Amino acid sequence: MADRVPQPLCQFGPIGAALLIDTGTLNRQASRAPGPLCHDARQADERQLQQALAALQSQAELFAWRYITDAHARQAYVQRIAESSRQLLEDVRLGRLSAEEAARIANGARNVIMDEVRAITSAIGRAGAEATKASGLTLDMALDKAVKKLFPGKTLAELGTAQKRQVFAEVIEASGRSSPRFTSQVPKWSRFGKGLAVVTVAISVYTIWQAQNKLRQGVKEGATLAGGALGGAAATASAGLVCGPGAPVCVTVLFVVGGIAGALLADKAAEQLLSQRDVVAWLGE
Amino acid sequence: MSDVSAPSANDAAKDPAGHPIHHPVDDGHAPSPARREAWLALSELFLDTALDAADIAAIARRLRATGLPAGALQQLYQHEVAPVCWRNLQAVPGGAWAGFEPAWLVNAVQQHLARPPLLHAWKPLQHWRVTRWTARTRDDWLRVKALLV
Repeated sequence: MADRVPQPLCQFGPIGAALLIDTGTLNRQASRAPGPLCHDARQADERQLQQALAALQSQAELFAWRYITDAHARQAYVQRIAESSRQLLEDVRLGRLSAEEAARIANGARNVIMDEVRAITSAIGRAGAEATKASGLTLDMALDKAVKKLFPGKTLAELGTAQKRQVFAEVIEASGRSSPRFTSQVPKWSRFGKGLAVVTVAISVYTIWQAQNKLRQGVKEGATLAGGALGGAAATASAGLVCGPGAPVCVTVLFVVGGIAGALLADKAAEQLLSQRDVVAWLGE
Repeated sequence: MSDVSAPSANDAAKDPAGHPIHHPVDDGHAPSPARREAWLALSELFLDTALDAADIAAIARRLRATGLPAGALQQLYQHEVAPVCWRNLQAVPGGAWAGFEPAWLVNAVQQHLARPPLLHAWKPLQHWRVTRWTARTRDDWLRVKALLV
């Protein structure tokens, strides 16, 4: 075999600061980690870009889920308070409850429903709700407000029986009303969330479709999205502990950071797993 | 400290650049009764409820009773009440619906006045913020305003 002309076998690293890999025993460079000998710096950059895009994609997935969840929560809340108010008015009409008793129940019932529905809202939505720290009015304050609205210049004590019934009915009806301008946003949230989810899935499908090894890419996409979801869920679970109540900005940051960290860790883990000799063989590479 | 209990032209004052002039005498101190009542009345625009004609009329009556001029009330609505109450109409599944707790509201407005948001003197940003804060209550405010004249 003819001797080769003395020259470096190859080089790696950025131009100008590249490490030359030579044959023979004169090479005093530290051994590299196992991997392709002539690994290009550009490949590392591309890998980082792919990871960033995967993290972004998992964030889009998390926000899609958040919008869908909150739209559902608001819809459920509006329906339940309206139903509760209707039921109480019906009970008063049928004589099952006195108007005063029903007004007292109505004043508390809406807050109970709010607490129940909050359990199914997203962490960001919940933090926003807590941030207002707006405790409800007492029954006396609610009655006073209703009197001012219906009979300006009078007090509850000055009203006759029929007028008092009107005031109690107003409190009960008010407990079933919600802001139409707020509720009108719900279909938009729902559409936005679903649209975002569709785009996220479409990007994943396209990435898998374009990949040389579709099985490998499919596993990676799945792991990244699942990791992002788990990271977001972990961040949500720890939101109360880390941010305290009513801190929507902190919860949003935690949600984003948790989702990105989860996605990146899952991507890294998937990469490690898919580099195992047995897995590589199973993938047919 | 000057007396702020009586409504004055200063309530609607703006600086030469058109920015609303806050009331430093109120910052950290008890607001005048008229001002406090106006905050409470205006905050009702931000409740998670549907305001019918009687509600709007009741708010207008309370505001008229304060004696504050319409320009001053507009400033209070946009720059003092809206910044602290607007989130109530973003809260999921819903925010306060019957009324804001008065002590909380007064404290929140005073804190906002004492520590205005970042870059609040920058007019475009302030304009954007006010637009955002009042997006879901502007129509109702216009209904109230129509009854003030």
